[in-house]
Amino acid sequence: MEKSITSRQLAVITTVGFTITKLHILPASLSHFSKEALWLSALINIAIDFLLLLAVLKISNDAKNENVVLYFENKFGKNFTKVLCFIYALFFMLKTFIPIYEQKNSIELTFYETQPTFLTFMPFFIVAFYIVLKGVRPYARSMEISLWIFILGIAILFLLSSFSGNYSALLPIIPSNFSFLNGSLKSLIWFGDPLLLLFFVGKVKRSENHDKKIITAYITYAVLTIIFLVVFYSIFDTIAERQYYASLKMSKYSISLSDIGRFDYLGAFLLSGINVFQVCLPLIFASILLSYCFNFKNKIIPALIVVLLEFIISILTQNDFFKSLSFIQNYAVYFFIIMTYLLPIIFLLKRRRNGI
Amino acid sequence: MNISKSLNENVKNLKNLIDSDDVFFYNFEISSTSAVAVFLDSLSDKVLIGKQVIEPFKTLDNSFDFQSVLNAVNAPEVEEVLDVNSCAKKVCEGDAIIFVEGFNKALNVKCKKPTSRAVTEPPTSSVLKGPREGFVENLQMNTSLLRQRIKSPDLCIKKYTVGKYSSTTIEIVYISSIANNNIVKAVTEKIKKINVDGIIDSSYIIKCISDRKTTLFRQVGTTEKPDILSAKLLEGRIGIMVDGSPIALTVPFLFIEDFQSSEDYYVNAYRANLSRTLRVLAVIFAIILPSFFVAAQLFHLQIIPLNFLLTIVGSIKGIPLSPSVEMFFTLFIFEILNEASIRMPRYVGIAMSVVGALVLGETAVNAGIVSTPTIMIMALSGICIYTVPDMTETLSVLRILFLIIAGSFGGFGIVLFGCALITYLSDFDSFGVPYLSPYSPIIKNDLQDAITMSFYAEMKRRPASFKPKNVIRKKF
Amino acid sequence: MVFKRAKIFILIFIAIFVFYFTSDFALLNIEKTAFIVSLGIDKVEDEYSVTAQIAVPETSIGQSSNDESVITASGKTLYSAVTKIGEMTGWYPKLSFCNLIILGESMLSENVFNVIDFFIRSYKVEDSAILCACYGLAKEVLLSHSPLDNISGLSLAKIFVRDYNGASRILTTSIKEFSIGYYSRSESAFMPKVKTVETDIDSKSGAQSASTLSEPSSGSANESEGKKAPVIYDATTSLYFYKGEVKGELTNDESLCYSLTIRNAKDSYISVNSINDDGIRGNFLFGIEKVQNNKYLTFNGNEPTLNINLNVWLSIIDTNFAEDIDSVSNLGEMTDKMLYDCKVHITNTITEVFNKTKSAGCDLFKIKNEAYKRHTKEYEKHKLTLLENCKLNLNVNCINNV
Repeated sequence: MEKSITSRQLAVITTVGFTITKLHILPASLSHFSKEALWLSALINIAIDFLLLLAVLKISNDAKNENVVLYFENKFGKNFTKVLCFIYALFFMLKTFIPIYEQKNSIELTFYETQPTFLTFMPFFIVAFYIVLKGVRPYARSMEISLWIFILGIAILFLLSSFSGNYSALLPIIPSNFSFLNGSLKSLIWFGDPLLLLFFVGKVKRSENHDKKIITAYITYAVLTIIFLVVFYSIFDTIAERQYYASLKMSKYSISLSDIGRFDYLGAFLLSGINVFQVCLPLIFASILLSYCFNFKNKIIPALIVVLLEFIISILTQNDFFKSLSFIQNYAVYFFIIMTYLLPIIFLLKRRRNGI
Repeated sequence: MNISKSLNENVKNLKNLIDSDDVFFYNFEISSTSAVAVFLDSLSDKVLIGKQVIEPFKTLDNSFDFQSVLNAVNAPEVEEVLDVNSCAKKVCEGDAIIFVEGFNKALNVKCKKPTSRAVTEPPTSSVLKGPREGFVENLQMNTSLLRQRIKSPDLCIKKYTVGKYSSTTIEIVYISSIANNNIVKAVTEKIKKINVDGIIDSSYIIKCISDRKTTLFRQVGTTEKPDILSAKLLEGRIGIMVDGSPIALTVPFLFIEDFQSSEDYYVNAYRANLSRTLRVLAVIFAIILPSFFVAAQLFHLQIIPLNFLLTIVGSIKGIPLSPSVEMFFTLFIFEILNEASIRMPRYVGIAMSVVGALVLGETAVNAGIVSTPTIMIMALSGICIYTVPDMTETLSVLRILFLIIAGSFGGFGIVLFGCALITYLSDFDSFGVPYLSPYSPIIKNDLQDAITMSFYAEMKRRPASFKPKNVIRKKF
Repeated sequence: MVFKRAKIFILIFIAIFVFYFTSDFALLNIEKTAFIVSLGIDKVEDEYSVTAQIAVPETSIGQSSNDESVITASGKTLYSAVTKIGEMTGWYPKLSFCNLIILGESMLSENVFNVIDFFIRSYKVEDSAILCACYGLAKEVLLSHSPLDNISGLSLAKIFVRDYNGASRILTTSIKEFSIGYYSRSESAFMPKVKTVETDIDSKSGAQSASTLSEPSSGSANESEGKKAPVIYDATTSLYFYKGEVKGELTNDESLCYSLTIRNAKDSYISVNSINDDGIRGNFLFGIEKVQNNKYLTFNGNEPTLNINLNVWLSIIDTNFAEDIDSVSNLGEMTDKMLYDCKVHITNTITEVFNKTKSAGCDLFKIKNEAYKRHTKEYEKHKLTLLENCKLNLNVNCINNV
């Protein structure tokens, strides 16, 4: 098994990749359900995900040099593993639907005003196909390059936005009711990222303090996300739930009345670039899993299937994104929970039963 | 074909193999035994053959044997040759072959006349501070320039001859106590595998040893300066010098190397950091600025400050071309001017500048074909591209690609193409070293000499990317 | 394989290349785009009449000064009126540069949020645009000529932006801020009301000769050549809203004093009648150098009290009478009496604002918001009577800025 990525790269994916997917619709959605307690809802989900992360780290310590599919096979047998891999491939494709659409809408609504929507976004699928085809190693390395872009983008975002907020908007700190729990549940579809780390098992050249690095990266992600949500709500207060694509709108208030132009778009462009990579990660895994299920010899076919399916879903739901989102938030969220949290739990239980 | 004892037969066989009029057959006698010296009139040193080879033979008595003939020669590089084919090859390389009647062996004397220009400062990498010597087309001279800088027994120079017809000498140079054996082995294997008609310049070697044959990006470093080559060898890289080319090659090559100039190490670290940062920004400007300007005009007007936007609108009034076509047209003219100015004789250079800048630029604006901001953006991009001379070929192509994508898909197109480019480069290895190192994968130690550089005193370790045998390079 | 791949790349490249040269399909053709810098909205009968002020560059190359172009269109909804502008001119109305939205007086008779809602929903308009009302028609304001800038909308925006940056004599607000107020528990917001003031200065000579401004009452309109007299703008009075409806108006002094309670004003001034150390009574202009405000709500049993502590650092700028020769260079010492007069003036004005907004049902001081955020239990208990039962405990401290 080729060890193609390093612990540091995995840590970068944890910080940059996890954070970037939280900057679009999630803040508005959380504001809708949890109002000023949005950060609390997010914190609950981050804490649940932290447990998931610990489980994933435990499994990866256990698996050592085995890749995740072999590990599945050893635990569940070949046939069941194939079925499981196929379900996970579908799950990853479904999970990617939301970030793809977030990306598409945010780009079209804020950057393009009159351009036909289909044409501007179509090249995304070509690039996604290329990234999926290249696989995990170039993705991980690209994310490492993205780290610098992320730092620049997030710095522009925070510097321009954090001074124009009214932080008393987040009061009361302890909410009077439990609507934030509903917010947590409805926003779970944006979380569960540590599951992705499970599929890196066996591909990582583990450094001495591998676990420590990943946990530190996760905490950094958690802090960045919470700060982002706090700044977001402090700026938009009662109209926060209408502010989809938060990262594109937050930073404009300190410069919109000046003569220097909207250079905050620069930050938005940079962050949208990183989002392209992050959106592709579940697709890469979906392609790998499909390849395993159907014994594809060629890497092109599974990559093509995965990207084409995403493309078709995007076309079909072109005008009904928010309806689809609402369906996922209300019904499909339970499928998300099962797929995200159940498998690592089964793993751990099986591990315990085997007395490892 | 073995050499026979008959002198005439040997001469005849050799003539059959080399049917050229510049091959000189000089007949003479050694104590009344006939002998022939064969050499190239154009390449061999006739004075040396006369004084150090033929004249000493007069001292031999009648009972000479082949060993005494061999010993009599005063030249340092003398060897026996047993077959006529080798003789023909050696003659073509500029050596002299001596056939003596009655011996089925020949004498090969290295007497190639060095034809070389003087060592001068290379025009492509002139410096304000630092050594001004540059490599020349003569390999021996180049080796001596390198040896002058690294006087260590660890400096290994391995010679290979490549090219079916050109028989070009190639030297792989490295410092044995520093360079990673695996990289040396990989380079050597690649050089040995080269099977081509001829190596006319070192750039042929680049194409032969590169992993990706169709890529736009450089995979092998080039330098015309012995000081740069020496510094790179000391970092653990491997150099390749080719006879007939003033450009030495270095591998493994990293993307970041193009932004590093030899002068950075000779000047103050603050200035060097400023220069490197400027180079990076200039490269970004060079490729992104025209495309971003077009994308902003076509798709994202809100990015442009209102006052500047009104200036643009004022200046493009009446221009028949769309922003994308206008920029493409300007770029096209710029590339033509660029191509012409490189190849034209120097004395028409000024006339060309006048035609380019005044006639084409000014008149095109006045005639309302292109707008002033477009010319300004193009000019800025044109200047920026030359801040990193080694990258101009790549950047000029990238600029066109970015422009076309920006004109078709807007700013998000630029972002997507950037992502694809990063992925492509991330998948790249140069002799086992990641191309985007030390940024991807991040190598902490090597960040000391990347886009920013630390002070000289702080750079105590060699770049870890090349996995050198000896890590420490200085102790303060 | 390599050549096959190269061929594919070449094909993609050619396709994009063709796309590049043919893709200018009804894009935002920059020359056919109307850069709307300000919008005026009036209600004429049942329709919205939207007046767009468009920045049009002059034809000669390189000049950055702009002519102006004002276009009006009507529609049943705001969006239909805006799109009509495009239909009438053939231009694409680009709203992202629109930094000012003026509501005409006719708009103030209904819930203004009916139109503001469009701006916070639409991605085409930036919700950072400044929002104001005006006397008469918004269209008239946009049609007026100002010596400050060739484009009236931009010159009006200038005074708001300056004020936004610290002067605080105007209760400047943006679409976003107004909306936040509207959707908050207080459901209250404010916006400045603009009136045009005629001046006799030549618009060409610009702001340099602005010292010759005439008083509005003088009526020295320069209409001798059939041209409209140049105007400047006064936005120091403000309107306050509850649930989107106008509940009253604040005078310029009231606007300023209210502003002191919510912003950190600097570089502002206040006019107060007082006596100097020589016993001369007159109008003094005091510079407001710095303000510290602290606002909090307390509950004494069921009785809510809004506590406002205000520290204002003042200095004398001018008087309306001549000083002694020896005090020319120094406009006199700030006396305790002056500070007291200022304190009384500010206290009275803020109390007046508090009472009148409260009686109008407008929670301008965000009492409900404050109660919800810091006294959630009490808020839930008293939210229906919170505003009417609330008392003001105002403590103004005027300090001599030495």
